Amino acid sequence: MKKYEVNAVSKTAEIIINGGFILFSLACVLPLLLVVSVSFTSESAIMDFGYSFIPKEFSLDAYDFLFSDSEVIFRAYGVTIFVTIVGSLISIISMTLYAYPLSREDFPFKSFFNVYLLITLLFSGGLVASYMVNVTILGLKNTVWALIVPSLGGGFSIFVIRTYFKKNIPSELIEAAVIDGAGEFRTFVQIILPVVQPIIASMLLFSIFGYWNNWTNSLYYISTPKLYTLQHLMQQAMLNLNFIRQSFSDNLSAMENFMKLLPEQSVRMAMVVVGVGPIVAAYPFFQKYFIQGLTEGSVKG
Amino acid sequence: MDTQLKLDKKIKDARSRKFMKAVVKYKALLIMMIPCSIILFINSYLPLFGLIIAFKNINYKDGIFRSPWSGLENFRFLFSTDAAWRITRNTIAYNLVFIFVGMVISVAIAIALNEIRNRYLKKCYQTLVILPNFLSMVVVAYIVYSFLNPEQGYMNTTILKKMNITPIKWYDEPIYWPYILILTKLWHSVGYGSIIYIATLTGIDSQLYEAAIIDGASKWQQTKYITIPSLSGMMIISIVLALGNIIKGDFGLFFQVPMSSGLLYGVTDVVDTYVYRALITLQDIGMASAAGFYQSVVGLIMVVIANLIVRKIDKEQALF
Amino acid sequence: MKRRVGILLVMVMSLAMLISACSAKNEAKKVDGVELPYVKLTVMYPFVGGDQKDKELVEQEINKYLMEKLNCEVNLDVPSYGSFTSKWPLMLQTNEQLDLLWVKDAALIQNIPRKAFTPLDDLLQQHGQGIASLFTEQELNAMKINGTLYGISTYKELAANNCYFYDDAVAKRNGIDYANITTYSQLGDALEIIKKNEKNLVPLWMNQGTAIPPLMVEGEDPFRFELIQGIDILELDTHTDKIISKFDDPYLREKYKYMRSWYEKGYINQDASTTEIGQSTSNKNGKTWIQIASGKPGQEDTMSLDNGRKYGRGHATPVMKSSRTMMGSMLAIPGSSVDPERAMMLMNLLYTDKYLLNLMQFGIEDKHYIKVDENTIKLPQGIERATDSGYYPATEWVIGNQFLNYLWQNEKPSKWQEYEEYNKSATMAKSTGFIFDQTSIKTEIAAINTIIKEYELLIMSGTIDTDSGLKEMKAKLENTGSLKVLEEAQKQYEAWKVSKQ
Repeated sequence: MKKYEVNAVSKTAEIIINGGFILFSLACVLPLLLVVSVSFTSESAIMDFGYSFIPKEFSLDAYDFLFSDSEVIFRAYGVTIFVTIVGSLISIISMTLYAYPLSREDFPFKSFFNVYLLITLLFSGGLVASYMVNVTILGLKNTVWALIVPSLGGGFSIFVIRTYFKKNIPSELIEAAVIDGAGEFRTFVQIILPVVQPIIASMLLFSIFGYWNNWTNSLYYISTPKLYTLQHLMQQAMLNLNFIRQSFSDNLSAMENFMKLLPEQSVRMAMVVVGVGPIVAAYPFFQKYFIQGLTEGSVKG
Repeated sequence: MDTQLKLDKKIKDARSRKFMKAVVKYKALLIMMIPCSIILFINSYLPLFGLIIAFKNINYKDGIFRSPWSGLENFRFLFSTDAAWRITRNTIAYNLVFIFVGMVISVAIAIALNEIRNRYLKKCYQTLVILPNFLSMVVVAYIVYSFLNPEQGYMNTTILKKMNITPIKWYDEPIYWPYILILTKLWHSVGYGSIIYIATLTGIDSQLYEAAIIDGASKWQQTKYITIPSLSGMMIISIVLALGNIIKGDFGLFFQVPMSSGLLYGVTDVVDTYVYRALITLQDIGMASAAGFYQSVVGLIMVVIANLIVRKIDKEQALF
Repeated sequence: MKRRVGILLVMVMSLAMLISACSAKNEAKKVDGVELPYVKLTVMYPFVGGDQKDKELVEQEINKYLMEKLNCEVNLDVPSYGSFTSKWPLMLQTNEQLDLLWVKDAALIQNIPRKAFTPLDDLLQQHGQGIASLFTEQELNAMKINGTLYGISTYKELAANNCYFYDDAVAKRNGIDYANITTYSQLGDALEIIKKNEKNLVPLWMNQGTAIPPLMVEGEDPFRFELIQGIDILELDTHTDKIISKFDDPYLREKYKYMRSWYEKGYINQDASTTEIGQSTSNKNGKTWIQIASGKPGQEDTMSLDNGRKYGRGHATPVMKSSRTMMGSMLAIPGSSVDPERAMMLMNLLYTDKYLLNLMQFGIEDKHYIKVDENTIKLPQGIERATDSGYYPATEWVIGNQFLNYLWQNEKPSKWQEYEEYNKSATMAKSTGFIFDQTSIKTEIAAINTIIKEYELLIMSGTIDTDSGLKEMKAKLENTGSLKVLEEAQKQYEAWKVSKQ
């Protein structure tokens, strides 16, 4: 710990760095606060005064609208959490297992698998073809797997993990394990994995965010509201609102029966709060148990 | 002649024997790769037949395979207006800025964060800088709009007023938009982008620094000779892969944020917004696929070139 | 590999057939003397009101009824509108089973050359007599594409016009007699008064979606230019029988010029080309006083109820019936239907069977609504909004025959009679039945679209100078082949005229 103190940056540098971070952090957090504030502002106040950091007229209309059927929303939270956990775990495990051999200098099929992976990053058959594969061949429509399978894997993450492996695993480490007589799997689990935890934690995080924020899988493959994901529900609320606004002005006469008030702008912001609020709130928690905890572990090693 | 054939066969046999031997020797590694290979096959390779849609005049009754071929007809709309140059230039120029400036800032964030001693502050900054990434571009567009909106926008009603500058109709003035778009994109992505560099930094062997300190290296020298070289692998891979997307524009950024204001198209129009405008009423999957195919091919060429250059400089870091 | 997949598919399918063969439902049944095997149809249309909690309950009830009537069941695939627009194209493109699909004009027209829909003429003759007798010959012809019927409109108001509505109180207090505003210069005068007297109001609120209907210019023939169905930028000049670009329409040019001068004078909100806040939202919040909307009967009452202030009717464009007005909401049978005949029988029921239609529109009696009399309903005790009843998809204008729908207690009992009169009062457009086919020149159209999307909004809202803007756009359009499009349109129009004789 002491040498760390010795190796610290100078006082002025530290002040500059901190100052920079404070400014940038503010730039990052203020818009989010604005979003939260607008979500609690009444529609007419937004029309009159625009967005402001302190609601000019406090109102819960937006949340009333979104939670008009709270059972559906809580279900969607459940689906999203399940999909996020299962999907990102399968993803990270399969990606790490694929990246490891790629990082091995002595692995003779390296270039083949590199290209195999690279092509998936560059070419895509498009939505229509993916839809046919997932619906016609795999029969995933209206199953929870439709929310997981299409987003599994990820070329970018695999290449990143591979690069990290290459950098941080000296070949002597593997050779030593081989001399020890450890099998490949044991070497991988007992020797390699502990060293590469930081990158795996980061990629797991990417995967978690990816699953949490995905709404297209649910949109295309799910038609029973029971399996809607949260983001799909939020997205849909917005699109419906647009549509209702357009069509009601001249198409529907039973307006009064339908809805008194359409708090458009505040709903848009409330959607963000409901949709990404939980994962943002959970992030520092992840961070505590992943990145930082691992940092200490790896520095020691 | 006969001996030649025999020799060929021998070589072939030897090759296949060598191949089989390698398979046996590395069977454990190959088994490891099976799950992800299957996933990639299902998610990426099976749907690849969709690429032929770009060359077909599709009708749904005959399906993708039996619809008549249409040659390059579907590609024509991409190049038939004088916007072709504009969208190509804009897409590539913006992406180059995003890739390189974005990476420099992300790396700087990672390095600076590493130097902060107060662990609480460190965690705090690290959390806050990735927040923008959670806002979808639609929401970002509204936040930008709340600043720049000609009637109620914060810029016009407060900041410019205090500085005694006449209000600017932001959405009518193209000259400001390259800066606005670049700032928005960087703000949105650099924090998130720094995550992989932070992870890489934590993996650097602390003995390297200890040795450097003993040798009397300054902080700056340590950064220059240890930290940045350690990050170079990650930086190269990011650049090479990003170049594969050089001609794909961030649709949300270029369409939503300028509120699709026609006056700004000179500086905001990219391939993706152009394709969207062209096809929104036509809904033609042939032409949409053609656009995607064109972007993929350009991406492939860029990646191959970038990889060749990387190979020349440092074979270790090359992708293939 | 391919063959193996094929074999696998055959196995799976025969297994599925075996399983379904075991179920009792598969029995054929005699309905009205005709043998009908059991079938399950997929029906897709948008739930305008979003997902409904009791949808499955209602679906069971519908199926109970349909088993008796047609020996079939339906799988109601009814996403909310937001999801619907992304879902149906994929299902069509991949040939997934769909037996009835709700479509709007462009969606239908563009997918005809892609062989996505089944022709309905013969089916209508055999199984759709109820529908055929509702519409006049002329009306059915208006829905045809190249002489073939592919989609059938909801039976609702089939004509359309646009109308200015004014906030009555604002007009009164400023001494504006809005009922007599019939020219742009009169409207301009009124806007000037509002600009001067009402600091809190935007005299004319415009945004990306607002279309300003024409007012009379001296000597103008309101019937002269007709927008062509199948493309949004071409008009038929009925005086010369020539197809023109709508940007060459002198009346429209006149209108744009007024918009420009109003924008410069500050009558129009300065963010007109970028804001997403529409006129109706703006009116609801009391930020403006003019609302432009369809002029169909009872509109001012709806609007007044909706905004909580009295709105009055001003100038309206003539009531017109055309292929445009009659294709806004249709049902079609996709090519992937497993049983087009049964789909047509089901469609026929939607236009003739009052019980079935109202079950689909309002749910189950005494659970989702209570009958007041034969045709009037109200919400069950303790429920304030229809959205809370568990089933109110707000699809009255989406499917079937709107005139068979129950009316809510607060609606005018004479609503349907008024609609009927409105339909009757309409003038049939000259180009009715002509539908432009974009297939042969879609490259040009795609390119043209990118240019029009760039300029139209700016010109329409008066953000840029009318003449120079139009000139610049026209030059670009002609460079990209707009003349070719006009030529093609004229050719198709002439051919259509010949075929009509």
